[in-house]
Amino acid sequence: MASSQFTCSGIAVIAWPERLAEVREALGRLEGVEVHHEDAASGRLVVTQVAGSVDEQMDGLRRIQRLDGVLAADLVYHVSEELEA
Amino acid sequence: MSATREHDRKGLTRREFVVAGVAAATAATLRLPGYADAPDPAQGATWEKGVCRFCGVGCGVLVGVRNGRLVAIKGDPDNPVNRGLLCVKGYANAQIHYGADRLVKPLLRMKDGRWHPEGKFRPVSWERAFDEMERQFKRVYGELGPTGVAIMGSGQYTIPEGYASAKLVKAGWRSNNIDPNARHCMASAVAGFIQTFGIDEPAGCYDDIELTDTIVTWGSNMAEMHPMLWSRVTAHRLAHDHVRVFNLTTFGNRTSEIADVEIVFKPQTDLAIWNYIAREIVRRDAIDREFVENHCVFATGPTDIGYGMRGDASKAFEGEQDTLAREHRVRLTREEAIAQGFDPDNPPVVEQKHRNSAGAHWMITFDEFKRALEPYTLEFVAALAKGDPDESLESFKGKLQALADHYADRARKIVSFWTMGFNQHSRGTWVNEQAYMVHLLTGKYARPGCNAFSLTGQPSACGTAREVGTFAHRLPADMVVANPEHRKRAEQIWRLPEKTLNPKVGSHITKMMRDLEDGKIRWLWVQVTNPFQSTANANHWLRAAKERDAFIVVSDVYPTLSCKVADLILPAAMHWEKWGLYGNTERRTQAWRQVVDPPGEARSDVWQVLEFSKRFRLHEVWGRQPVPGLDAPGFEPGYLPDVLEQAKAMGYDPDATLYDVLFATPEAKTYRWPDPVARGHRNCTVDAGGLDWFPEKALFQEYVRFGRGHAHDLADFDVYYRDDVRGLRWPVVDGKETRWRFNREHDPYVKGDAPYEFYGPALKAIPRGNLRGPAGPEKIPLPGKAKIFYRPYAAPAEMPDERYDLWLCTGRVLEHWHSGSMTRRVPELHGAFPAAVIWMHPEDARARGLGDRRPAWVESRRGKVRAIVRTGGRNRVPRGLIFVPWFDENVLINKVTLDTTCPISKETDFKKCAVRVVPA
Repeated sequence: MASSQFTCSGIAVIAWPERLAEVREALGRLEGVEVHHEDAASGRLVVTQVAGSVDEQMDGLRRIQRLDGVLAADLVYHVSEELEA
Repeated sequence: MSATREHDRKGLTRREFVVAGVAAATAATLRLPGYADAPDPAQGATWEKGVCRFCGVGCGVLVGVRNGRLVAIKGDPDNPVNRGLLCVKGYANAQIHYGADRLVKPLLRMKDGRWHPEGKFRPVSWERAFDEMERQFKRVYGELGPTGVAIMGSGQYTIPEGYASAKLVKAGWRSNNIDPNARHCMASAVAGFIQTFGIDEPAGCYDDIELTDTIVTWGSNMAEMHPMLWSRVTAHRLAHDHVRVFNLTTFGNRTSEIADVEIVFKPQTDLAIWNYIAREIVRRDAIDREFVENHCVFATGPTDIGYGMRGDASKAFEGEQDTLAREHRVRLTREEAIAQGFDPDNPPVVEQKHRNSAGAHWMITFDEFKRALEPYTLEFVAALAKGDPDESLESFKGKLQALADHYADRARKIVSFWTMGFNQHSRGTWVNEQAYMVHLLTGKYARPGCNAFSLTGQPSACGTAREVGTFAHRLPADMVVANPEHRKRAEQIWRLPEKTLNPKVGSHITKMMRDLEDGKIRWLWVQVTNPFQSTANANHWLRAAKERDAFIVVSDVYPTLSCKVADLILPAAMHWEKWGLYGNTERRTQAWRQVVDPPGEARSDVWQVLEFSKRFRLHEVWGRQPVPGLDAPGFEPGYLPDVLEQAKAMGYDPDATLYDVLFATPEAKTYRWPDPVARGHRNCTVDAGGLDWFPEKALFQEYVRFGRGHAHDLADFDVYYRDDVRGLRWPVVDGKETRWRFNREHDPYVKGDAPYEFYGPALKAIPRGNLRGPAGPEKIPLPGKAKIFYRPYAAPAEMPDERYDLWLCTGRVLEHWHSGSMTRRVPELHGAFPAAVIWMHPEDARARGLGDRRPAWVESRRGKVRAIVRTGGRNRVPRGLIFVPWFDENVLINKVTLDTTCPISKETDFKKCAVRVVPA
């Protein structure tokens, strides 16, 4: 049975509070990224990112860090799974 | 097993289950309401706490292991350092163990079945590897004595690793030639602490971030280099409108994004800016008089101290001669003349008379101090220091004034952070001392929310390199080899005959390279570092490694540039494959257990040191030994005495091995293996050695004896492994950590009634004098006092001129950590930053016929490299300066850099030399 690697990360994003909506939308447009929770007062968002490899995860996190309006994007949780295909 | 069932039950695919679980676990870590009981998405994994190894912040990490493999990582929510967050390097905690090119067998350069310097690397057994190491060592030791051999160590050593190596070198081989790469990263901070406070490491801690009103970063791109601390700064700034952030830098970087004020200054002029701030504090009468009168004295030292370059030009390339000549004789610049109180129209020629006694200092009066600051007016400093030619002088002046306002405001708490911009500085000790000057003048030090803080680059530069003392001049717990009392104490703890330890300071890491070139060091063991990439002016050392008759051993996890010049490569165990403890930048000691096994024949560094120590019998090393230049009371000039008779009287057999005498001692063997603290975890040192004792614990428990009762108290080994402990900040007294040292309310070592006591014992008796020198030899004791140093502006050893018309600044980028030998394993990470780039102002590029993403040569008097020009992106350099990261061995920028060091700390200035850039 073939297997493929599947990785998922939980990422905490801090945005300028007044740009939260714009950041949420930009995050939603990124492949593999889902926004699960946001806290308007502190500008914080809880995001998951799914990717094939750890390498893509690292690249993906930097992609989030480079978004306009994002002040910080930090890794909270990361897991690698072998999925049976 | 239950994983499948649980997601099936909920009607989710495995993937959906994991995503939902990761989201919930993330929210729970951030302490968002309603997520506390989320199931663990990494089902079947067992979790273990530990600490990240990729910078000096010391973030808590939890690693998840399944089937003997690291499969999950999370930020430790209970760790107060990072509170559950990690930067992009957090991913590497697992990934880095599994690179395709891990070293898994010893490799020896061989030809026709024998070692040969021009041979090819062939896998050999550990036995064969140690045989060759021993043969080469004994040949060199026999010819040159203890100074002919050396270990280059690391700020990434675990505490037991550094301690074992230092003990083998100093007590076994009677050499002081052990020095860490940390010399390149925080030696100036150390010298600043010792000269100012008499004891190493910061008074405060990270808690100051949330307690302060003002954060000033100096030569520190914290946003990229210490991201978790920066996240704390960012959160604090966003939550509090009155908080202000200043970023002082030689080019615009990501740290400026949240800064209220960005100040781009010209390289080296930080020295002048501090004096401007101090002058303003004096002028505005913003001095905290009570604090200064009760707890401080004023001091200064010589200014004719050279630049830490070679004094001997015989090995210099032709092109280097003019820069090197400044080591002995220099005509001051007009600005230096003004800054140092000379006639600016006729700047004097200075002989560098104090290049070998640069650390000397003496007391001066407040009036002298005030007089020395007089030239540092806003007009003078602004004109000297403005770093962006496209900024107006008025704008720059306004920013300097705002900075001075914030330091001088009595109502404002303030924290200054700095990193390599200060420490890698040809006046690095001075500029550290200037930060303390301003904080002490205003009483903004050693109290909550007020701190001046050197941020370390490596995970245990503090815990191992500094605290264990893996330096050429140090012993554990701030003691030094040159001090007879300190040697005596170390000889007692180590059970050594009197005068076993060598009183002559060994070679610092840059000097080791020079010694290699001179044939004075001919056997070198490189541990946990990559010095042939990380030492400035690398063409010399690469050539020396190839051409000289020297045997070089490199222990590492991956092949590095240093491996390429080695004769023997030893495969090492990686972070989570061994037991270890690290000490971070805020004095916090943290520990982890081995959670996975090392691959192939890779072995822990502790095992390597212990195993090699079996190759030496006492009579081979503890006889009379030549040490050229040794001149110390009680010693025959040029020699260490034979101590074998004394050793026999102490019960040692001259045929005993260094392993028996230094490591497997009766006391060490009382730390048995298995040990309940292991909770069933393995220990690769024990496994490989077939031991029934626990070397890491035995080494740590012996080491802590040095610091207890001397303000460096650490807890017992087992305490750091407790589930409820996330590291402790020393001194740990009666089980309690210390957050603010020297402060009576927080530090048990403050014994008197005064609110502050700077009790550090080093350099606490100095003569009186004035700005030109000491008045006489009589030394005045200064118990409990800190020193407020006046240090002038001094130009760097090399500045842009007509031929080499640009400043070169080197440093790190977020994606890569140090020489990249670990982070560059990650292929995608590598893809994101395929080769080093030259960050350059678009106009500078245009003027040289270059453009964005075009190849170019960067050339200095010492060498040249080819790289790709970038005129945009996150680093915004001003005209006149380029920035090149140093991680890429294909763009070995250290062939270009200058090996000037702070003459006091011996730390290299990687931040400034003169280059030109031409199309490739």
